[in-house]
Amino acid sequence: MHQEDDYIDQLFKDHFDDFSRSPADTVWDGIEAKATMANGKKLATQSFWKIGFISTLVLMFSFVMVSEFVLSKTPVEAAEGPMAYVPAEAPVEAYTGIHESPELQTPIATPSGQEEEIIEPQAPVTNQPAAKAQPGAFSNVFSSTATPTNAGVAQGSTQDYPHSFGIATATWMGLDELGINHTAGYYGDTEADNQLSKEERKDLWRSVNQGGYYKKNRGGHWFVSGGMAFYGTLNNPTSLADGLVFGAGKYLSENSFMEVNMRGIWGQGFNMRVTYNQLLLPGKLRPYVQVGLAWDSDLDIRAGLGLLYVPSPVSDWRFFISASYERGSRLFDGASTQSGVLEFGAQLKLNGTQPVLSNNKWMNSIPHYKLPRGWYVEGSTNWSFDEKTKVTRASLYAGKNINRRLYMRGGLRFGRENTALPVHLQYHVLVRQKLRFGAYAGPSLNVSELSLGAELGLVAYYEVLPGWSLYVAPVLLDNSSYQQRIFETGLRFYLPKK
Amino acid sequence: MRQPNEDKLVKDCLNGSRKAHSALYALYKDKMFGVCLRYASSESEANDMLQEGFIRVFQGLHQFRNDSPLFYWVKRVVVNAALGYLRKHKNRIEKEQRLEDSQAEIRIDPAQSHDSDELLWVIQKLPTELRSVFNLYTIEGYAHKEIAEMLSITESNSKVRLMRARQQLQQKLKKQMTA
Repeated sequence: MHQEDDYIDQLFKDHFDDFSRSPADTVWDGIEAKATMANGKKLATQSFWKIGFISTLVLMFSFVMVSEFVLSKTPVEAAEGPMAYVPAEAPVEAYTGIHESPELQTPIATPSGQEEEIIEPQAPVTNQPAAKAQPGAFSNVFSSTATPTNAGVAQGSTQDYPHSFGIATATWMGLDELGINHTAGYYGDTEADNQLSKEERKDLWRSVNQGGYYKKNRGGHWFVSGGMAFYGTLNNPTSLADGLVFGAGKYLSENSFMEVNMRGIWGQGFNMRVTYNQLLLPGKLRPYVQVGLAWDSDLDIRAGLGLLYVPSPVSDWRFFISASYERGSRLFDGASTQSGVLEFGAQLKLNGTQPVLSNNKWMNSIPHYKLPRGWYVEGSTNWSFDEKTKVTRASLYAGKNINRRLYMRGGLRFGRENTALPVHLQYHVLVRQKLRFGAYAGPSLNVSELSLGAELGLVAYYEVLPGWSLYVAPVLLDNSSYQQRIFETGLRFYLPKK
Repeated sequence: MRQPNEDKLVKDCLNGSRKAHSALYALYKDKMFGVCLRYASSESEANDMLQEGFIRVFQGLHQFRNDSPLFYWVKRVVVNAALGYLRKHKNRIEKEQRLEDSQAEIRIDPAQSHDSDELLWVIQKLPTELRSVFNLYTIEGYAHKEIAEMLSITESNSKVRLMRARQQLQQKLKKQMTA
């Protein structure tokens, strides 16, 4: 009996000791979808990031294409005739040196970095002769024989100010803050415009904008907000809660505002967040997009859509409803979290400029036109968000402005774990004299592992001294062998021009 | 047994490298699937066990200590996952097994040297509780005391199950040889 047992045991042991077979390919798919790594993160590359990354690249590409190639041929709409295209009068190179002219900086910028009101609202102007006729855009405006109406000065002959269609289009679409129009031009962006005196520029500005409304309502006012929030975690375990939401913020322009909010229930903790909100369309119902950071027990990147109801231009009240998605990692164990938030409430304007009714329909701000300065260098230090892979690195970059919103930079990020060579294309959505906010993306070569990856980040710059800017940037590093979220903080220095 | 890059592989996995996780799976998937096939009663069950096993491996990798080769640690986790799977799906598996037993006949090629696939088929036809004990004792080399702890049974029960498993295997093999 024992012999038979031994035989059976030996037989199976011999055959199965080193036995192997290939499993189905679907097994790995299942593991990838369900498994979490030892550091608590999902094994699968997050589709959220993939979608976000691709969307950002597409958006940036679209902006560049539209601004560089479409609007560089500025269409001018004839009064009742077919649309004609008039090339922009000055190439980007013509901007060089505009900062050297103190005269050109005074009307727009204030020490606080806010755009200054320049012109008092007044009745629409008719064609008036320029005091000193100048060549270029300015003289073109006044060479028109058509009477500007609410359709804008574009409604004239093809000899009209060549930039006006771009301004009108972009402001009507609410996209002026997004820079769609920047090469088509605001006043002051051509060589001819640069030669104008302050008074002449005022005249030009007034003509382009019909002497209308916008000067008094270009942002700068503070507000408080309050409302209700419904929110829940989307990953396990799911939960749903409701609470109060309240905060304060400031309109950076008619089309954008920053806000700091608290959300939660007394005694049960609050979530705090900082958001940048970009309004997309003019009118009473104004959709907006929101990006920001939120934190309580976790640190989240937040993105959302909202709708702002503006009862009337003179109302101090605005009402909002927004839906947003928060994704991040818990601070104490690094586990990933997802939340959905639905909010509604009201904003109350506290101070600042009063809105003015006008017959001008382009009720949007014209942003400060900050021209490229040239080459710059940056240095930064970075921390990883991931608890179990906390690695401190440093980065060095060199870059150049392509135009006032588009930047290119390349550099070296080095640390104990690996060294990478990233190249970034930055696009700045918010452009103010001192404050800039944007996103960037680009490829990165990990020289330690010789693998290619991609990087995606948000970035905010604040100019502390002329030529010197502090910046902060949450960044996603996605490589074939790792994915990490880091927080980069550093200093940009513009190299002096020769 | 230890792979030269084993330490780096584990370290990279702990650093959150997806590539390293994929490499770890590729390294052991075939052998671990072979293990799962012995505990399962079908290939699809073995696939499920393997999936569950590697999910546990990745989740618990920080518990791995370098005092033993990674292969044995992974195997231990996969075996435990397989046993957990059998416990979880006990009722369904038994029902399916009864149905198959009543329908299927054991047909094995009567060659003297047994092919692994044939032996696998034989072992897969054992009742689940006998198959587990036979695998754990004969092939994995666990003692009855350890098996008793792993399966939450008594030591003597483990011995009885092993004896019955051997008997059934002998019967099946004899049947095959005389066919």
